[in-house]
Amino acid sequence: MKKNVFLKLASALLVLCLASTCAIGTTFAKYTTADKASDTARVAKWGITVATSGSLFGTDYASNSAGTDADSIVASSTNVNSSNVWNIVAPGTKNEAGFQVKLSGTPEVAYNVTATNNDVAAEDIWLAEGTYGVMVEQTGLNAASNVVGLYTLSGSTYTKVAAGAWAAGTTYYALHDITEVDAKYFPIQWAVVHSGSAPAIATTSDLNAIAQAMIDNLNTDALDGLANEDIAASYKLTWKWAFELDAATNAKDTILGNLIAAVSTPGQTNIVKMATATTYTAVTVTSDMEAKVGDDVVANLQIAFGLKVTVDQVD
Amino acid sequence: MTSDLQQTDNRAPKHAGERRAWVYIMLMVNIVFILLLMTLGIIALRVGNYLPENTDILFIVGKNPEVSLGDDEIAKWETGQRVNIFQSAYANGQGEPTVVSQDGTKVVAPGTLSTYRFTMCNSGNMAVLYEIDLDFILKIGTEVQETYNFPMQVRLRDASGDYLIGSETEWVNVKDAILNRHVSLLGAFSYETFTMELLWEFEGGDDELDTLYGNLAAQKGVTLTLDINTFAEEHFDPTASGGTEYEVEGTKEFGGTIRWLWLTLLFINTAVLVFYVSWLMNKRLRKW
Repeated sequence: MKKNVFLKLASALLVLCLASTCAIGTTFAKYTTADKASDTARVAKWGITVATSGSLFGTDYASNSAGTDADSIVASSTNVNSSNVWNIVAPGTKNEAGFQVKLSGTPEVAYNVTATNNDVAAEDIWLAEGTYGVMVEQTGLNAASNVVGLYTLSGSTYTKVAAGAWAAGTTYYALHDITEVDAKYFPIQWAVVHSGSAPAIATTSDLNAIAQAMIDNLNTDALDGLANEDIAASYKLTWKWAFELDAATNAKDTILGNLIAAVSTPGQTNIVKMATATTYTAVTVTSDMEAKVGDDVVANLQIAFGLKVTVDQVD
Repeated sequence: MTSDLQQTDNRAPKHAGERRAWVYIMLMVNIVFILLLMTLGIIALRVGNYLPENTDILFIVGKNPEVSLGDDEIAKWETGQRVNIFQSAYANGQGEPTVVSQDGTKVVAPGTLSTYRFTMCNSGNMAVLYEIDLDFILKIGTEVQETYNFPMQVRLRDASGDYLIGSETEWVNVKDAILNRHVSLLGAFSYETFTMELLWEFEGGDDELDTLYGNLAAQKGVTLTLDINTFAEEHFDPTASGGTEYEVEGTKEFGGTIRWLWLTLLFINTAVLVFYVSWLMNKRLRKW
């Protein structure tokens, strides 16, 4: 009996010893650690601005005391004044302060400049080639009056009276201010002054050409830049409708001036264009700011100009 | 004749008593030895919590935890380490500079992609569970933005190509960067390399937002700070594997594990002693 007790006791102790070692791996304190690293960056600067200033046209133009120079835009004037809210131009007006587009900034990224006409086709004031005049109604005629050389109106056609006597109830017109326009006449001179490395733009009477020249100039690679290159560039568009250049020009300006004045009341005017040696057709001013003879446009009476400049980052 | 027998009879009881005492003594020694083993084991359980690392406790391999992080430039991060994730200049595929800092400080812009590789190395003898957490802080001027919409995206993957943030086809906005796999395992004597990519898309679809930040940067300054936080704790199984193992000199012993050879010898010795004493006791008691 005794040996069994001791044997069992020894065996139990051995089992307890084995069991105690199995739990060792799970009861030690846990190791932990933490680490942190960081970095900071700032957003690269853009800061490019495309600013416009000035206005090409106005409703009022001051009188120029020199008399030989054109008149500049002012806030109000009794010299040249629009009858409505529309901006106007007239012979003898100018804007040398001009309309300016200025690009500035030094971005930290590469960029390129693109320009378009913003889907606005450039339009300039012009008068088509031909012979023009102004029909003035004659009053106080009677049977004793000589009407040969005067004109009678039928519809939009004025026909010269070759022979015959005055007829009661007939309106007679005399042709004044006969003007010969040898070639399409653009009365306004446009100029662009710009800074920057792009090529110079020549002064011209063709607004469409000068507008396209500005767009081409802005699109040139000369304005594109790498990171940290200053974009500084400016364009100033000015114009001038010269005054009292010469008699022939004055006559054209008068015709255009009369047509422009008729814009506020579209319809048939007393301005005429020679159709044949003995007939003149009345010029009609439309609400689209055009002067037409029949379906032919003989003059454009408004100016339109569009420019859109975009500066984009390049990758 | 009678005196020899008497002498023999007189010696037998004395020797038997000595042998009996010796047996009891050996038995007590055996019991005390086993109790001592158990006591030492229990002490090891408690004292081991306070002993220095890498201290062997009898037959238990000392724990030697050692987890460190580093990158291609810095072998081992210090606490609060400043690293080079971003750049001060970027170029396109043709080598033309597209983004250049004016003052040499690091910048980001539409079209920039920053790639940063860092490595977590477990040179200790225990497997660990680890977490990686990314914090993004946006400042406009001096004001930290609590809520914002910033057009930068991030992806994070390990060396095997598994993504912790985002995926091969999906980027995550830095504001919404959360871990796909929150906790990962790194085995002893192993390392894991992570690649983090930060992208500000050039044609991200919101040019207005890009331009807004670019102009704010010119007016007030806009900064983005990225913190990489890592946390590791020992795994319950020090021998668990994860990451890429590297070769070590000698035999790999994992912390907190039992040295089986030593323990085996101890148990065998104990068993032999126990059974020897039992046999001896059995033999002696039978004679008694």
